[in-house]
Amino acid sequence: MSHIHIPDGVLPFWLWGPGYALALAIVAYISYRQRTADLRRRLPLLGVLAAVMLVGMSTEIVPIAYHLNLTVLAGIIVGPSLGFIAAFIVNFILSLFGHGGVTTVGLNTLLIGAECALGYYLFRLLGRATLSRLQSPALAAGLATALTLLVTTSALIGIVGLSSVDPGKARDTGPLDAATLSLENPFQEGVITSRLLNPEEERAGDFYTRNSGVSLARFAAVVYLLGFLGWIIEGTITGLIVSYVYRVRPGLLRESGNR
Amino acid sequence: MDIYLIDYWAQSGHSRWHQASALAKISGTALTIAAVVLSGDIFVLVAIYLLLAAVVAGTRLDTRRILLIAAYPGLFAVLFALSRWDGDWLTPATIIAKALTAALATVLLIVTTPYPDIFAALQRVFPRLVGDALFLTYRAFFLTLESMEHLLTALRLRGGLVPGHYLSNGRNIASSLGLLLINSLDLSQRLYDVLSVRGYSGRLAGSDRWRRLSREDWPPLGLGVLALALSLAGRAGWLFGLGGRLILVAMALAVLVIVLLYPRWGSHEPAVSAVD
Repeated sequence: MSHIHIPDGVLPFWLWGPGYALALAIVAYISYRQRTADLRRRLPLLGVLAAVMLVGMSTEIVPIAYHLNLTVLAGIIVGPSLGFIAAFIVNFILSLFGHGGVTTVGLNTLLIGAECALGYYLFRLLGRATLSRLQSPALAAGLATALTLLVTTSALIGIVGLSSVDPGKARDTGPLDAATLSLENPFQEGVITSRLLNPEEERAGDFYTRNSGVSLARFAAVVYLLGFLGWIIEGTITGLIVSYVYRVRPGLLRESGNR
Repeated sequence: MDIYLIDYWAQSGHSRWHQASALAKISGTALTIAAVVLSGDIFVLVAIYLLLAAVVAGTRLDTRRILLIAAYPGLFAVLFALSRWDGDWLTPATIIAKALTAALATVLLIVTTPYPDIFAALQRVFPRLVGDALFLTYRAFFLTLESMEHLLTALRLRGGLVPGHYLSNGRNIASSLGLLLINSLDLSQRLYDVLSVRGYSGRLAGSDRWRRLSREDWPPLGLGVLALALSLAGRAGWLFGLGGRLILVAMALAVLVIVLLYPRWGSHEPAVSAVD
């Protein structure tokens, strides 16, 4: 939910250009710092976790226009630095598949990378508080995931507000109409209808530029509403996965505390 | 996924496209993807897709199978496109056409270029860590997808997914994802062990073959420039309306049909057969 699905050519250059520059600068800095670390052992791990994130992000839960991110999970396992690199790789590959624009890779990397870092630190913080009483890290991982997604989704809304792009086009809302906040049948105007067959609609602009009439406040309400459901799903799944990993390979979570 | 077959095609093909340098093919692919990114015109996208399909047919590899592999990202794009439905079929159709065309351009690159050459070139653009991690992610992605497919099949066969039992289904799927993660981590350890045995010391080595230029480099570069020119012409409104766009698609289709009818046109050698 927290990354931008805006197609290329919509966001202004002054926003995505510096976003790219900042993301690449952070990637370069992490790459430089990691030269001295135990990189050789962790590099295959990074590749595999990026692949797992890619699988999660490629699977969309259609009714609420949500897909799993598994970013907090990646942050917990590989730590914030390599998590940021994984975020860049995942966004780069997803943009080649048409999921998010190529120009938004920088901004998306910042958002997803922040998710990995924030999730990692929140998990450590909450884990210390809950693990001794509950004997399972599931609650800490679930809460860390939900809180992280709340923060990064707010950052997404901030970016859309800064960009002055039509908020109605900034995020998929599925069958929920962002303008009226009601669930509508998307096929009500018929299944076979097209701007090619309807020149008047064609003159009104293409789908990148048509104004949806959705204000930023309304957009925020929709994103928080759909996001809330997504955070519960993602928090529950991440919690259960971390719980499973804790039972089967607890060393992985102990290692994560040393990054 | 057919990752071993893709490697085999890339290594064993003898078409003119195979003989072009990785640098030229990556540049051509980047131009084609730029064309896809810039274009919101479904006719231009379909024309570029047909031209790419003609090149695939000209390589004398298994055209049908390559088109199917390239359609794989399209499946995800269908879900994404449905979520963007605005009552007009042109919007999801354009999104799907963008995904399919960009994917076919990428698949054409990987089935005609040995992957060490591709990643040797990418490692020059990205920092070492990112270049190496991109390579490893590429290798792991298809294997992870395959593992997940097997896990879900096993779960279904053993009664782990029962209609109506949402809570237990959710718990079982989460456990499967956890198992997938553990398997993936074991895979990464094995990968590291193999790399160590083969002399890995913090950098994946690549040869200089990727940048050896030849006259075979013109077709991939030419196709990329043509795709970009079509895309820009479409944006500028120079394609003479619906009629001009239909003619464009018809011409691209004609190129594909000609290549399918005269397959020796693009190749020096007999067709490469499937090995799996």
